Amino acid sequence: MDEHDPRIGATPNESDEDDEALGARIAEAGPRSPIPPEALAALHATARAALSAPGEDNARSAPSVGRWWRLAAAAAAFLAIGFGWFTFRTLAPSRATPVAVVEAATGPLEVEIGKGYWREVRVGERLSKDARLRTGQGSRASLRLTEGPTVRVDAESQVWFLSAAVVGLERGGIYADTGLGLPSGPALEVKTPLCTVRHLGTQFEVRWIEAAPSALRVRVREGSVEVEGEGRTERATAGEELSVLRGGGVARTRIAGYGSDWNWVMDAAGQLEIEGRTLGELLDRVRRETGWQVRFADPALEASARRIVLHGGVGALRPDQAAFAILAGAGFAGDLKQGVLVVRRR
Amino acid sequence: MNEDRAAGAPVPVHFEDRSLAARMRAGDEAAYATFAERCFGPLYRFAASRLAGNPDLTLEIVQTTMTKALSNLGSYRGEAALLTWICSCCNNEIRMHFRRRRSAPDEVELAEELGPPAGSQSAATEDAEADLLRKEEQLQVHMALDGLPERHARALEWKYLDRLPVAEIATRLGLHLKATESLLTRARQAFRASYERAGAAVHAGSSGGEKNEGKADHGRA
Repeated sequence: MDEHDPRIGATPNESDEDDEALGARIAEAGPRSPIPPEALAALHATARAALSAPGEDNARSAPSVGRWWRLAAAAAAFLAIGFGWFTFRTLAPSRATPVAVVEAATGPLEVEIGKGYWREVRVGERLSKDARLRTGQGSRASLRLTEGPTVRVDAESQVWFLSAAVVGLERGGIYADTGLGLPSGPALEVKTPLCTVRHLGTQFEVRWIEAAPSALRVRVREGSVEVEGEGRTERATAGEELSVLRGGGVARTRIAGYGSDWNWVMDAAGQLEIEGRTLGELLDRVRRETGWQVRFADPALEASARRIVLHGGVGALRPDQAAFAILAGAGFAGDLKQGVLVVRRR
Repeated sequence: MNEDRAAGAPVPVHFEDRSLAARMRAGDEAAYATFAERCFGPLYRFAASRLAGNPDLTLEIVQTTMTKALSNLGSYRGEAALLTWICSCCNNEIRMHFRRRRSAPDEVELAEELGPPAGSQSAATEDAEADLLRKEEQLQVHMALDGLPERHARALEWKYLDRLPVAEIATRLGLHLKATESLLTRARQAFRASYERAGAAVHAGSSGGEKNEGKADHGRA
């Protein structure tokens, strides 16, 4: 292998002898085992995310003034061409300031590229300021804003990314988690024509309810939010649901932070990564995704869970399902009752 | 491969790959597509061959490699082919993974137990060494095919592996006979270039990341 077969080496002209040698190589090597298409898709997502991330040496992250002039000139040229400009906008991803990255999707997602024109968005792609994203029936998405919060978009929803900290909800529902893996939650506002929902370190859902009597629903899973609209400000804390009515009224009810109402949030989360994490870290993540409380049968057990390092994967299992598989694999068991998961030894 | 280079001799520069990297950093979609076509398949197969075919671990390592390499793409200087550079990064990731595993405390393997990396198994006999060389050759050919457009790779496999007549390949590709012959010629040319790239990458992995010509320790090449 140190020396390439001269018959195979790159030469400008082929001969029959070269072809025979090349064919013999391919035949001797035998058939290729297939590369899983989902692995290639994951690689695309990773590569796009790495290229779009504001890395130390990423030229795209900090365009110079000169580069902006070149972009402006290019844009002017495309405008002059007219149809060519439209084609460019239709096919090429945005080069404007990124405000969010698509981290996971359960189905097709689209971003608006011109009034009434949409194109498909792939996992790993970044969305620019003012991007409008829509999901279809059964498609959900998880996005990370460049300011840090995670936003999950439910099926049949439309979201407008006004900036990396302000999201407009035009249709359907979104869920925001401003604290996942972050020591202090960054700013996040969800704007609707009815009201603005401002987080105060939390996990919450905002959803349009088209049917009367309520118009917009805000449900707080953890922390608290401030809801401002129609000249008044309301505050909602964990376990509360506010229904903001079209006439300006607000109804308040108690809700559970776990259960089937929150399943869509887990569906949109994407695959749970466990490789190299401790069991304790995984249970923290499960707690955050499911809304469960996690308790240990005894303190020694918790200390043990914090030391155990996991390897492998849980495939497409949702966090609430994966929790039991992971516990079983690590020699533990879990009992779930009324939103409380008690971890014990098997 | 380094021994071929005299001390102080100028380092060959892979201009095409350097330009490809620069265009990718500038957001050129066509450059990204070329990179993905040339590197994703070969890189995945390269990692899989060294990780006993464990798919979860392979993907994990390849994704980590991709993230680190592309985040440091600005430091790629073209002294090694891009695929060689990335495979060297991958080799480093694999070594780091097994080093971490050896020093880690309580561990729970949810997936099936892994063997040591295939490349680290000592060849005790000449037969074993020959077997290792055969496997490297096989890897190089498969990586070369992975790095081709799918139609080119399939056409070559149909012709040389499945021994299909050109007429049958033409039917499968939906092309006329003449166009199929032309496609096979282009596929062979592309295979030669891809085979060279794959060879450098396989050698980079076998000889260890520090010694390879790319010096690709997640940031230099």
